[in-house]
Amino acid sequence: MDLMSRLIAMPPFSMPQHQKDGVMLEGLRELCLYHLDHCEEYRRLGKVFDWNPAEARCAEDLPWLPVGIFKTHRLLSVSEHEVYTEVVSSGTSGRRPSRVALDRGTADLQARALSSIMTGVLGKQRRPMIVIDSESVLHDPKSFSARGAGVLGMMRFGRRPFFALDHQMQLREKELSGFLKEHAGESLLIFGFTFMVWEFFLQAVRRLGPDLSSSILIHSGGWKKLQARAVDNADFKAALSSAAGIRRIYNFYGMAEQVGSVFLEGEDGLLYPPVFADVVIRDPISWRPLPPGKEGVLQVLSLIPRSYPGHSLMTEDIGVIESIDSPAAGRLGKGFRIIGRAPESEIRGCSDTFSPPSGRMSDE
Amino acid sequence: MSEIRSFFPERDDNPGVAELLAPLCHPTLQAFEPRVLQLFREISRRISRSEDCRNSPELQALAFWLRPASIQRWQEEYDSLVQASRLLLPRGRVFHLPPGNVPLQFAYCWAYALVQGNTNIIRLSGRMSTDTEAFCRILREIADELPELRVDEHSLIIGFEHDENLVGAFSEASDVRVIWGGDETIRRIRRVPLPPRAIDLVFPDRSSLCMIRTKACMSLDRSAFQRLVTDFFNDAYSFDQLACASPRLVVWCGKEEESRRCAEDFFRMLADHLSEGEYRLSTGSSIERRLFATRSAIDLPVSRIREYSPELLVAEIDSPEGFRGYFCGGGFFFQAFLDQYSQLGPALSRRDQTLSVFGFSQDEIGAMLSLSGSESVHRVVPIGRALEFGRFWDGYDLLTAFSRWVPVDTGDRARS
Repeated sequence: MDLMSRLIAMPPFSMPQHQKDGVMLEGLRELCLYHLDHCEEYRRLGKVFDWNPAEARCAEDLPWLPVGIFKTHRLLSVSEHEVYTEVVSSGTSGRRPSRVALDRGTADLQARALSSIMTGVLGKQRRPMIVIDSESVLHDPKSFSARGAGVLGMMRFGRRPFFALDHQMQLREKELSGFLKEHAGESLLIFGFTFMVWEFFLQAVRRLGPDLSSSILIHSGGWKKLQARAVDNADFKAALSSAAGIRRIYNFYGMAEQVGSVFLEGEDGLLYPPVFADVVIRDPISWRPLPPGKEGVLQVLSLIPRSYPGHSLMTEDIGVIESIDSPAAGRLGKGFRIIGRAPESEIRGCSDTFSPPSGRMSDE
Repeated sequence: MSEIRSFFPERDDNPGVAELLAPLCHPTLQAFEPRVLQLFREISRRISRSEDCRNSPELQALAFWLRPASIQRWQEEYDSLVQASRLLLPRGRVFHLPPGNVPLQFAYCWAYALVQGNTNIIRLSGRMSTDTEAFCRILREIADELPELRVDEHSLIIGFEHDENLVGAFSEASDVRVIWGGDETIRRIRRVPLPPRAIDLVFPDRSSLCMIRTKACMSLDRSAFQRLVTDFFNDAYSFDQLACASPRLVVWCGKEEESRRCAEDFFRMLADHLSEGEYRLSTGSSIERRLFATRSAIDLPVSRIREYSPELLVAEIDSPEGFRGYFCGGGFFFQAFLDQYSQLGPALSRRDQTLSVFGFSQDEIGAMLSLSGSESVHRVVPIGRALEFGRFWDGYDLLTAFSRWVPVDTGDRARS
């Protein structure tokens, strides 16, 4: 078995950090060299920034790309005709979405990786599923939005999916009530974006009062909107537990730009990288790695992206590593938290419009 | 229409356009009117004396610029232009749309327009900086304490969210419109009509560069070299390297090998200076700059990007082009090497604002620019003075730009 197959076959949070450090260094170095060979832009960057992945002594020494590069550049390490699908980020209001291209091999690795992580909490059983979204997010089969891709990816772990929102993003309360009655007492899989779970599902179960104590809720998408309402992870869990008895609630963090990197919440409320991924926290000015307990910019590492150079990315999120191989969590590796988005640069200068380049840079 | 806030005179009655314009309706000013000169003296004095203003270099610079000696010089220059046969008369009312993010930029243009006898509407956009607030407060104090200056008869400072109807209403009442901003902002505002006899003065986004003669730089002793580096630091880092006049390209002229050595010393010394912590890069700028560097490396003929310190990235570029347009600031410099300074001429563009130089004579630079035709810079200054605002800016003579030339020939002299 090759390295990736071996890793994906392992329980997802079973590798002690010192061992993972070695695996990541070896795997990421190989990926760096691979992309230097296969992606023209990546090779150019290597030359301009004088990268020497062969000399790296730890994964932190390896080069990284700012995640924003995928908004303006389509970086490919396979030929165009090998592109099987594209993942497009949902791109918040007015921003350009990111795009990354997957070939069959990378798409397959991504699917297996997700499966390995999810079966870690769900087991092999496929539960009746409630999707807190509208079925219309799936309707663009050629290029998925990250949201659609997320829903579609999760649907493989449930059965008889029920979409709780209609096309106008209104709650289908009557149908939901019917679905809950039909599956009363069963263990369900509930999936949705954090804000939509709070906004739609919580309100509905407060009214309907179902017993979901054996069900599992998985949610993602960030806390920004809930932070604005002063709702944190603990409030979120407490509200769902008291409304419907849901106790197994897992948040995850991931991004369209790095397929396969799904960082799933553990029992201690921290996020954990699976065996084939890792995180590094860096100082935003010097870019030096920071020790646990220090807040900084989150870098994400993954052995999965092979069709494009997305294996080592600097996010625009601030995070902190809280523990390494913590015995309390029952998980090995780095336990981390996301603090929020990095503050945007305060633009001073003569221009009152701030417009990032619409594409390639030039004088005009 | 969106709500209009009036910062000077301060009003909280949600006034309409007509009410705001009413006090300005009778332009009775003349150029260099004593009450305007007294207003400048008061502003300058109050800024210098105020505890709140002491820590703001921008306010202090404004106070210095409005001091009596400086106004005296304007008047001498102005008087020398005016003769019995050639008058300068105010255009009337000036509508200023200053940039949202260089605080106090508006005050300079306002002073030029006012001293030429015009009334002024200033529309501020974006978040109000503490400097701008301090300026408005001082103006209010003066208006309260010295009502005889009748400040509200010639100056109105307002703010409103982008609203083409409001821009239109104020434009309709103006004789000159002053627009600062990115190309898109200027295009958008210019689409809003002006009265037939009114004019626009436009200050679009520009970028700036710096040129150093290697030989002259190498002949400096250590302390003079250090001074040059500090001057360059002030030009570049004062507004996060995002002022139009801040250099983003450094061109070295001389034998390439010598230039490279000199550039190395120069940027090492700049990195040392930066390590003293006078300039602090923000997290946002740092992320933005890294992304910009990555894009530059892919899209532009950049051969190498070096990090001298966290606040100093230098990208070597094959030709002195490609540095214009969107920019990240925060300590990112393109660098090019030329054998001859004259090679820079053909690379210049009308998008270039300030060329700051070291080691060249007036004649050399003059000759180089004359050959560039319409595609050339708008000002040349020694390194260290890039950010000094002056009478000649972006091709305009601001001391006369808000006036009409009126030739007066009665035939009297011919007869006598």
